[in-house]
Amino acid sequence: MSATVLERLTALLTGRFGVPAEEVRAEVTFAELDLDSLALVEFAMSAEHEFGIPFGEDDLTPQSTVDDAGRLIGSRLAGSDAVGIG
Amino acid sequence: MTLGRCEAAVTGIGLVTPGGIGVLESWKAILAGRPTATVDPELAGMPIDFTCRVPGFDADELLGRRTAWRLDRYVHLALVAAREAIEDSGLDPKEWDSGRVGVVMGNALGGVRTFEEQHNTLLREGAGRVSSLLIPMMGINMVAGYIAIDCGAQGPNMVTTTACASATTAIGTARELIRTGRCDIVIAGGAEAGLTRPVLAGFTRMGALSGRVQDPAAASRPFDGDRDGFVAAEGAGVLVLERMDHAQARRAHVRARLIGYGASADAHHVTAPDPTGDGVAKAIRMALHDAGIEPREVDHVNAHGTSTRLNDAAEARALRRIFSDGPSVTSVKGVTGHPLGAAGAIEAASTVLAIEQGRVPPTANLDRLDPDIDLDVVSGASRRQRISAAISNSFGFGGQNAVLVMAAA
Repeated sequence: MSATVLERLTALLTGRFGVPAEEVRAEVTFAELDLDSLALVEFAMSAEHEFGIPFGEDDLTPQSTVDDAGRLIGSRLAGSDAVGIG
Repeated sequence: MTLGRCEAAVTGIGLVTPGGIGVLESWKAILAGRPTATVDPELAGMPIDFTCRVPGFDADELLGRRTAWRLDRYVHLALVAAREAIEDSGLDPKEWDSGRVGVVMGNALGGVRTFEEQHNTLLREGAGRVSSLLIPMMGINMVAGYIAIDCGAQGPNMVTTTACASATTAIGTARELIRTGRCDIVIAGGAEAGLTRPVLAGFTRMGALSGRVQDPAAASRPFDGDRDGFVAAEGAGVLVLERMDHAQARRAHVRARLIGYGASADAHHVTAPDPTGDGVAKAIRMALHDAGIEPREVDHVNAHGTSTRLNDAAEARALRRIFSDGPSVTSVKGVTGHPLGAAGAIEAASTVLAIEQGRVPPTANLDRLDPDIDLDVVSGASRRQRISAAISNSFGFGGQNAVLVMAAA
């Protein structure tokens, strides 16, 4: 995961979902950040908006880690024509 | 004086009102008779554009964004009030027998703000953009659920909804849980935060609101001859009710006793009260009977007193029929406006404070008592009075009436 993606992911989790920045680490799961399956639907919508990429509701589960999300976003960004994002 | 059975102790109170955040700030405004109605920027361009909002309430700051983002404002207000009430009671949720702690809250409109926002999203962006939290945020039952999650209360959990009587119904229902021995402790009260444009438009179209747009601060004037409607408000109030022997065993400070509850239906009209006050009188009589006291033993009435022509006249008629000795009467709605499903809890807490401090707050804006109302309504400044027993009235659209009887500890 690129530093920029992690930074933006952290900013999203902090600003929109109130997760303290110091808790956002690559290996931590969404469940550990208090994002349950309902919250993950919201997260997917916010991530779509933030990164300009399609983000399915089933792409992540509460057991997915921040790193999983970062990799997913990174690969979608690489595969998209969203030039300049990431 | 025989004050009947004494089973439910009030050991904690919490308030979030247009007077301020917390019991201290709220009571200060109520006792000073300081009206809180003011022009509401969210209602710009509406025919009636003023309300009573809780000033400076920042849910992210008070609850933390991690909690706050998932909740509607009406639950925000309730959680802050519940935390204050529990702290005031001296109870430690880590130590209580959680299965014996209930939560009963009153609410009328649910998360109507969230519903409206998400409906707008649906119309603008389609169903795929609607929040997954819409249902848990708007549900009318959710306020009791979230309080239970917040403090770890695993006993009976419910929300009562009787429009503007909702919180009084909740506190009365909570007392039943104490009285039947089902619970040791019940967190009880009400919350409301429905000051949205459609809701205000609806109340305006009903003709229920004061139209005093040139002078909002003077608009809520219960029992005054020039009253012309209520002022919509938001807020929350929470009481910790506790079985008396449970409170005594832990040497808790008992602030007051909840000794009676009565409820009735007008069975008359969906919004207009029965002008004879018959339904209201039935609820008051039932509450007094439940408390085991006579009308002459009631020193004080915290009235529903909404500032509508019809309510105040019907309530006054019912009070005159029952109380010949003229207890002092006040309506805090001159200060707070009408916070609908939260009103009964804010007023029950005010009644506890009046009993404790021996001080009746004035009815704000009562300049000239309606000549048709023959009651000792306190106006101008607060009045010193020793109060042994008091009642708190709430009446809802639908003709739903609820009355609490409280007594000094």
